[in-house]
Amino acid sequence: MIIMDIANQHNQQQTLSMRQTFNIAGKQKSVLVAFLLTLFFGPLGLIYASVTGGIVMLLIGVAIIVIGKLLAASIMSLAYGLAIVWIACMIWGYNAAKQTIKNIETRITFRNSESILYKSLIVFLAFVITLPLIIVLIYIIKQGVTQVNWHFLTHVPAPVGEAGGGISNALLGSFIMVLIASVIAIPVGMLAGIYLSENPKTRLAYYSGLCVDILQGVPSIVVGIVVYFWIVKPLGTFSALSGSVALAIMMLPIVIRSTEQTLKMLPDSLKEAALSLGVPYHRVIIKVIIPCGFAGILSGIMLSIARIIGETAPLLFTAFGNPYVSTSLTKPMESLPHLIFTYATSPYDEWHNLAWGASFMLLMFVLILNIVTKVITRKWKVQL
Amino acid sequence: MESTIVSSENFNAYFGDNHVVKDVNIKIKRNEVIAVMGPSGCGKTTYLRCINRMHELIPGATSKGLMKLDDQDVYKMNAIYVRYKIGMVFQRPNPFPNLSIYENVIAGYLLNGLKISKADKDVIVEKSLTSAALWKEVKDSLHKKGTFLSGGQQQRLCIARAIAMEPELILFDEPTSALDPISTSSVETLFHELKANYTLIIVTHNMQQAARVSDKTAFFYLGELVEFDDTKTMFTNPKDQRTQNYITGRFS
Repeated sequence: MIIMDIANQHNQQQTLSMRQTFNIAGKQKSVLVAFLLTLFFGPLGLIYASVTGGIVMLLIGVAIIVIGKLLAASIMSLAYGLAIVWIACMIWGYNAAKQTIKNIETRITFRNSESILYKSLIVFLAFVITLPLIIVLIYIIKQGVTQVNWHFLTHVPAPVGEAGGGISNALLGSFIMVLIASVIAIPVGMLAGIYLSENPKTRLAYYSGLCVDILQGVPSIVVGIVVYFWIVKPLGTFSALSGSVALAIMMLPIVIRSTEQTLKMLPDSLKEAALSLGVPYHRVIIKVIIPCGFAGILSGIMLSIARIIGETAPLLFTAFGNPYVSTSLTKPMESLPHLIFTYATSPYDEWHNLAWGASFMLLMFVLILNIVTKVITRKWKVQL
Repeated sequence: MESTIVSSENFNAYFGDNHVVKDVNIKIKRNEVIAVMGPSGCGKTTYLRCINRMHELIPGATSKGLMKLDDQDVYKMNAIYVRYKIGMVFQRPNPFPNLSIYENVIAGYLLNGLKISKADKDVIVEKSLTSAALWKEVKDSLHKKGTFLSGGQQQRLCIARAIAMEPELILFDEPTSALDPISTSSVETLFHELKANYTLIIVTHNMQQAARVSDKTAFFYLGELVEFDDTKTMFTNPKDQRTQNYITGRFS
């Protein structure tokens, strides 16, 4: 039995060793030599691994120099261009030399080390993308946290030259305007989202879905200017109401799409179960579809609020801004992002500090909204 | 005394231009278990969904002909009322995930906004769950979500939900095809018990199941009702060649 096994193994090894090389045309080239040559001589070194590659890269290099001279580009930009050509040569040379390897095991070794390289690259990039957020957070917290105290939250900004002052007008204003925007956008957005998910194949659903996508892409400043002509001009004054309308328009597409996506995930069997019990359609929507998708809809709403609370552009020509606490909807009203905009661009240090404090508050709101959303979706998610 | 509960005359159903149920004539008597069998795509589920007017909810679906429930034309009645009177159990268990077991049983009342007293609710829940042979297993966890139950228990919960509305007729659309053999046998046992009070129409792919549970069997093929007879006669002495081929597994 054992002898049989050994004989078998022996046979297998033989068949393996027989197939240990590929029939690849041409001479085998050393990857190390190709790499070193391209590292030191660029396109010229590439000729060792790939003649075509060398010629192509040489032409590209010459073209870059000629075009650079014609456009009178700086030495630095020329150097950047050539560095890119150089790196391309190294990659090309490495690949071309690798293709000529005939031994299977060597090839597999190369592949494995490439896999490891790609994996570590992905991990590295995944780490890198968290850096901007971390840097912004640290910077704003460092600058802003010292500004925030009870006085800061309950007082209006101080005039130039006076110490202290706060952002109570902007906090209240942002709260009121976001509240009104939500009151306008949430019912409309949810109903539209329900329509889109319930009747996905109708022509109306196709075109309104298209409009939602386009609306999402409309720059916020454009929304602001449209609302200016709709509401501010006829009324003859900047007003909190017009700011709310502009924010509501920004909010709508997010609410619509998130409602639609959430409800589309619900199985049809759920609706059928309710209908087969003799429940009328409108009650099926209210009592079954919306409760089952509630976590998703709510998280969409929260995210849309987090989005509009920091919008400045739509408020520039609508709510405008107000150095005093105001609760009148027909008068200009201050908001956090607008306060940051005006005070950060002012020439006074006290006002800059005010803007840092306001930025900190704004950032905290957005962070808290996002974290609460995550918790809600996890806790209230209906197990299907 | 035997009386007819469902009868259809020259009944046709369509999906757009696709003619899926062709000229079906059938008379179903009260307190019988009817098995509807046939190959996939033969229109048996569509026919079933026509009885409680669930078919027309699919865009493009239409129907033609006479369908009577207790001598009333179903298609002249209010669709909501029809579905009130006819219970339905689906292929996959579909309890409402946002409701507890207790609420799931009385979902028909809750979702319709019918006000009933707490005592009545308790009675209905216990009675329905008992008839669905689920009471013993869940009586201590009535306020847990229905989706925590096993597949077979969920299906029996759906049956309890249908029973709670006190329908005369319950439609089953392949009720055991998503269940394991143990759950299947518990649901099948249930059919025997339900027979006393309700009429059951069961669509099934499974011939053994049809033979085990039904009094009468209807065989659909390519949208036609080929044969409708006592189950025993059907399986021992089928009149139509196509039925015989299907039963003996010689369909080409």
